[in-house]
Amino acid sequence: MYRPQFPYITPANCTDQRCVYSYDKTNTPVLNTTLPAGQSIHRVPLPIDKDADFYLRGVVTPDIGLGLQFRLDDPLGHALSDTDNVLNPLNFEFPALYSATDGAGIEALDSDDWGIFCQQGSRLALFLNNNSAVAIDLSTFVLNLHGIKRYSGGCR
Amino acid sequence: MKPPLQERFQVYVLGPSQDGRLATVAAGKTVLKLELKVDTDAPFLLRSRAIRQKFQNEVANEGGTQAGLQFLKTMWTGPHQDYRQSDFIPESLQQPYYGYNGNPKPISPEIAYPPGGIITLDLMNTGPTDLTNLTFYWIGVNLYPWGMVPSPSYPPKFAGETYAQPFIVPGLGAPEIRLNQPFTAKPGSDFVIRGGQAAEIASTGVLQPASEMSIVLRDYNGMPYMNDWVDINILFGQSNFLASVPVGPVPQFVQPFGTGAGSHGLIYPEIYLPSDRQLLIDVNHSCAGGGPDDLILNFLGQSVFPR
Repeated sequence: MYRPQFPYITPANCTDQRCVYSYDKTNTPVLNTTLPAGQSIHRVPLPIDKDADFYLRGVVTPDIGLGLQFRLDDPLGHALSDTDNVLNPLNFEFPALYSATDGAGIEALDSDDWGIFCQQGSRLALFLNNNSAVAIDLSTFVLNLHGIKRYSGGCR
Repeated sequence: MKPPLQERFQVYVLGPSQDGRLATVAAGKTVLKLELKVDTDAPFLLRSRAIRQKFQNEVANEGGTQAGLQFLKTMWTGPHQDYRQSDFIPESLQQPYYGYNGNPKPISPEIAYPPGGIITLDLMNTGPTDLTNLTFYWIGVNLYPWGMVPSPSYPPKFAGETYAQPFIVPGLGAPEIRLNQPFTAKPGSDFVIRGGQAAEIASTGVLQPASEMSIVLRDYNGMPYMNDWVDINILFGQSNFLASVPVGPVPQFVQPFGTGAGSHGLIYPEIYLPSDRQLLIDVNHSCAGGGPDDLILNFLGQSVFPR
């Protein structure tokens, strides 16, 4: 979060390309459904392109309110926020406290290795939870993952 | 390079508990020589400021605005009773959103106060209504010789990954104070707290802006990071906050745009919690009436895995 841009050094023989992966109802079928009150959806796959590794550096979602929460696992299965708690709301993130930016900026995700490494062709996993007492239409939920694709060996 | 002194996050509060004249600042009144004495055990580097008052126009103890702050003028001193303004200056022209929602007004270059130093504040309420529980927050770092206060830090070799760990204080009555609520870093990795966001969870399970909730953070020895209660909307804030900030004399009320999770409240320097180590949190819900609410604090930072 404090890291300025200059430490994001591109290794020799590599080219970095700014990239935003966007997942919504048009490319992620489960986001075209309704999440019943108090229910969760686990391990929705978020595929990464096969042409280059992706380094995740930020996340943005809208805050669609209504008690919707989510969590991300990186492709190696590491949760990017807390999990395994008895109290279920602690196992997910409210967008307003995590990723909703009111239209300005990016919620930076700090990590070493210049971003969270996602190997080409791998998948992150999305978990959704409805913490409210009414069903939530997921069709307005959009998840944007900001970062870079890293092409190596002159393959781009 | 290791700096000569250890920095430790510090918030100094100057409010009604420090000077009773801030409980009610009547319309048109000038208040002089409000004094805040910094700790006697450490110098203080002032790096940012924020202001709030008790929410006005609340409905059922929820919501509300900061109506009246647009008429507040201030001037205040450095370490030698040297005023840093030539005259009273409207706070509305100094800090967007009055430093609200986790975005205090930066002070640059920082101002150093010696141990026991005094910040003197003069203010003027030029508006037509009283200001209630007016509170000023002076945010920066205390300086200590290394080893005087605990300073756990990174192992020689480690891997790190972003991590967010929420903390819920359930069923907080109105009013109610709970002391020493333990927030525990997960086993298996250390947790570096670099910022946070905060709100209430209503009984319906839906998130809503917190109203009159404040906290004191303490390290695992019980040593506080602030001298009094700090409103969580000042320290942390949240996205989609209330349209509570007054703009103009009429005024219009606006939402603090561009704040929230994308520009969340920062803890600087970071608080390093070794695995299973605890941060202690005092919580104060100072509403009079209304139903119990869950307070949620979302601590943002990084997991550290020793290798």
